[in-house]
Amino acid sequence: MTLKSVFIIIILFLSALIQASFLSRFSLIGGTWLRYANIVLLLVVLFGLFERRQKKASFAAAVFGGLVLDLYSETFFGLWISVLLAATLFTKIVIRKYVRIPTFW
Amino acid sequence: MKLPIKNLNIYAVFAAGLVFAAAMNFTQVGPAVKNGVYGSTRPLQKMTWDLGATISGGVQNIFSIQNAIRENQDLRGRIDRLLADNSRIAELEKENAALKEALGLGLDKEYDLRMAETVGMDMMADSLMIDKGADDMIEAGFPVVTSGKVVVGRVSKVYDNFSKVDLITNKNVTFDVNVSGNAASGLAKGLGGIKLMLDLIPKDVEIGQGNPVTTSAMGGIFPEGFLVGTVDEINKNDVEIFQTAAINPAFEISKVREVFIVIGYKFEDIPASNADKDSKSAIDSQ
Repeated sequence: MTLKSVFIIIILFLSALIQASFLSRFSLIGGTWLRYANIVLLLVVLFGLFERRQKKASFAAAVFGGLVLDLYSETFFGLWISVLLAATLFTKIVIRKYVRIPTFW
Repeated sequence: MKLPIKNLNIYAVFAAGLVFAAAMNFTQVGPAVKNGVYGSTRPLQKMTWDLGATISGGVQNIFSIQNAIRENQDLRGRIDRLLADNSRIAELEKENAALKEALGLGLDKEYDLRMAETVGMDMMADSLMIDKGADDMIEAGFPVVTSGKVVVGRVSKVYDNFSKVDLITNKNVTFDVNVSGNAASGLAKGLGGIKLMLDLIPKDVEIGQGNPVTTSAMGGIFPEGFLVGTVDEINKNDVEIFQTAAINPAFEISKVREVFIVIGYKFEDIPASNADKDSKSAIDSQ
């Protein structure tokens, strides 16, 4: 496991924790909309967007992010893994077929 | 048979994932794993939970002092209306929040309570996580209230050291309520998204905005007399037999920290000897 993978795992885990506890109490202008923010989903999609096309690490990130979200939520276990995997797959398809953006990973 | 994907490893990983998900959902492995994760990350989660409230309050003050003042005035107005409507509830409202004050109000004399701290929230499901579970004799269905005698929800799932609480605004929660004391009774239904509605109030019964809504003992879900919220927008139309109304929940979700789980009632008025006689005669008559 590379240092980069460890870094991504820590970031995703902390994001899920912050999402479940920190953001859920956060109220800003316009109310408490931050409660519904899904930063893990956002991070996984961003990761998929800026990953090289031939690489597949974003799928692993989606599985780990989904696993953590599933552990912290009371929905059916596996729901968030499926949602994040679907989002990553969608991102990859869009990137492969329609978009050219700079990659960093 | 031709497979759409040639790499067999993908099928193996997919099958393993399905088995894992099934184990987490349908066996005792899931609750045990979740309990372990909650337990090990609790200090960090508690820290971010408290930090959220502190920073949120600070940022909100910086960005919207005017809003805060208006909100403050609005809340004061609401407290005044409650005072006029029901002095007893107002008395409890004033002395809300602190544990000692709450116990001083007599909640502990009427009910067998367990205090718990909220450690997380799942807004998609209108639910809270609290730090007491089966090890503290918590069971599913127990009502959860605040020190100010405001009803928050009920325990829906119990782990060893944690429990999930469905808020009264959860779509699965429906319970009997009284409006303005006992002037009218109806049904409160959770709508999700911290929204609650009042239903089955006969059209001929007059209810007004700001009327307090309290729990009724009829449904057997919550103890009688706990504050649910106040009546907001009322909907009456000629076609429907009943009128409906929105309820402003009395609890403020971002400020709910310590909660009490009602695990039973105390019957201090009944002397033990009499209670024994009653139960013996009941057995004898059978």
